[in-house]
Amino acid sequence: MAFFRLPYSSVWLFLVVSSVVGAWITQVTFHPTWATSLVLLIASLKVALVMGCFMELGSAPGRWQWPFVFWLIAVTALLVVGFIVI
Amino acid sequence: MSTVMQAGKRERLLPGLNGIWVFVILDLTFFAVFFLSYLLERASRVELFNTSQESLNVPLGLINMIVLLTSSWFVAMAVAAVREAQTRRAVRLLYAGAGLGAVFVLIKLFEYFEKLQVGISPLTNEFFMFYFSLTFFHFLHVLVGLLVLTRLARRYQAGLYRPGQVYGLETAAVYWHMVDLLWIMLFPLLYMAR
Repeated sequence: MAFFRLPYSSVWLFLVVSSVVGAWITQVTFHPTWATSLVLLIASLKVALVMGCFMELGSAPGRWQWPFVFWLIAVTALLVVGFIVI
Repeated sequence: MSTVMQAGKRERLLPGLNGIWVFVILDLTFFAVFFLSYLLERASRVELFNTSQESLNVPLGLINMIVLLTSSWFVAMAVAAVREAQTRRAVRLLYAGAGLGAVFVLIKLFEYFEKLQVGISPLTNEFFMFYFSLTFFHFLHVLVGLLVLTRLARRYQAGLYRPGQVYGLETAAVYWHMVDLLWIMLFPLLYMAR
């Protein structure tokens, strides 16, 4: 996927900006649960970017990517659903 | 960038040793179980967790996040530099990456010291038990990564690897990125989840 083949510098910039925005969201929101869910989703996107670009999974053949994609989706679902439901 | 590289006569599909990827999946799964335990424990003591969380230093956690992300970026660029046979640039980037890892360690030690000084320890309550155990386990990962990055930088500097030889560095880089992404999950869970 082209998304996972972005230049390292663009990825780094996105990761830093989304970290600051994520932290800011939790400080200003009136609904902490949804803010936390949003922050966890942002964190999952960041993990996907680190795995895809920095770890170069994005350039590996599809069959090598699937275990990691599956793991990422499973953990994200676990955290977000777990946080809202539990 | 070519995805299929030669390592001796063997065709490689992922960067670094295959074993490091097994380690990454297992380590991440181990942490995922910890995250689930944290959420379950949190659900039964929401007030306690929210109150305890207020004593954490969010700006320092965020600074540490940016420090690790930047360190990861440097290491990713070091791998690219070695592939292009720019060894001197790679050495500078590796030292910069390791230096930022050291900054993370210092900030984390300061945070631990700050907590212990006011009498907060892993025995204070369940939240701090999770906080100290999760972050300290991650802290140990950072220390190992720091040693590996520094050693690699010294070996490249000493000319012990031929130009373009990147196999070991790729393995270390995958590990270091994993350390980074663990903090990406730990920071919102421990510092920001309300």
